[in-house]
Amino acid sequence: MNWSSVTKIIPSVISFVGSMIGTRKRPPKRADEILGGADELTESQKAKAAADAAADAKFGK
Amino acid sequence: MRLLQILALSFLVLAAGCPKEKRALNIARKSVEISAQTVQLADLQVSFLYQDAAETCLASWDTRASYDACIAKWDKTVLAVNAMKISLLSLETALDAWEAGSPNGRDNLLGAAACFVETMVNVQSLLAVLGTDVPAINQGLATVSGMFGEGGIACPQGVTP
Repeated sequence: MNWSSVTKIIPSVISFVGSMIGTRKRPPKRADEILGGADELTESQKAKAAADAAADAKFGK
Repeated sequence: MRLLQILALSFLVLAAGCPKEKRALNIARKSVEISAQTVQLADLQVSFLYQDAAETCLASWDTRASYDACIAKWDKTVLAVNAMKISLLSLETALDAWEAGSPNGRDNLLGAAACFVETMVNVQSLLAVLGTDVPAINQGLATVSGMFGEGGIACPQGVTP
């Protein structure tokens, strides 16, 4: 893994740890509230869509 | 990481038919929440790794076919991460049904949990092929795989997304 990926993910890790601490004191959130519904794109799907668009721009469709 | 230890423990409590169902359900709900946060974190990490891989492939190849071949394993990983998310949503639906008094609710919940584990294993395997990993998945699996192994309820065939 390169360091730019590590740096980008640090805020999410901090948020994750914070929410793990917070979950003891409040009602649990639903998974669909955190992740979105089944038809909602994941972050990695969005990254793929952006990369596909870049490849389309370079090579044509 | 303790998050899937909690998940495994909560399902164990449910499977044992604990009389304090309300408390067990609350633990299961919290476990699903923590699992969702793990999936979210893994998804984000894969998205950054995908961006890096796509930029490298785009710069390295001159034809669409060769680019597609270069990024193909990452494309499979993106699909697998989505399958992991869908599987966790199914697990939550099974938890809802169990809470609502579905006759096979407990078994369906355990089956859904086993399917979720399978999707995590799949993501882990694909990342291993790519020479990388997501620590949250590795550590969670180390705890949960024992719970749903021998003697546990398997993921029903055809259910894994």
